[in-house]
Amino acid sequence: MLSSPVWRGSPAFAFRVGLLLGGAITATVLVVVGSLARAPLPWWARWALVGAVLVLVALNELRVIDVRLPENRRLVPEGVFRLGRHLGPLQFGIEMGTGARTYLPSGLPYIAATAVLLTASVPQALVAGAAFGFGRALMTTANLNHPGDWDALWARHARLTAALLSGAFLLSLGTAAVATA
Amino acid sequence: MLRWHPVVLATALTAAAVAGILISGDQWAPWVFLGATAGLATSGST
Repeated sequence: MLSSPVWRGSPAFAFRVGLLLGGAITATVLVVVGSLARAPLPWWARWALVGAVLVLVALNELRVIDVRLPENRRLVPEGVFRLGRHLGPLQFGIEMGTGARTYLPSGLPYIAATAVLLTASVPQALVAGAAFGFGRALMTTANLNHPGDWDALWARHARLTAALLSGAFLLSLGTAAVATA
Repeated sequence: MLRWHPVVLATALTAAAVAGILISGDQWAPWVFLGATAGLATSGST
């Protein structure tokens, strides 16, 4: 996948725009569905549900329990590049940015999705969704610009990066919860 | 290059989250970093 034309020049820009759009699309769907699901629930019950998902994901990541979270276990098909020099990368980015069309090797997006589903306003959801795409764009940009095997490097430091990102994620989630209360 | 090292990226994003949320207190910051950290955490999926 890394040898594809999406990683160079203006197609790369289209790809990154797609990542942001994909995240925003998922967030929009979540907030629309969530506006119905959350209606009968008081704010504390919504955040209690987010907390329950957080505990479930944490126990799963720590291998205390073994739950298979919903995930599309495949790569985005390279056939999307048939759409053209820019539309192909754009669609590739959108599909990857949704978080629903390819592997999702972290539990954090499930917690974020639940928080958006049950607690976010439309603008907050759009910001979180686009930021999710930005996070994925950071990863792909780093992967391209690093001279060595970036994925192997990520795997080697997975514990440290997971701890750092989980800490920042929990700070964000906690602050969002306090602001909503 | 060092700046694209996974640990450097994760540290920089974490530092930005702390600064953005705790120091600036911007109302959008929690949602920005909620999404961005979740997105970067999915690394290795390409």
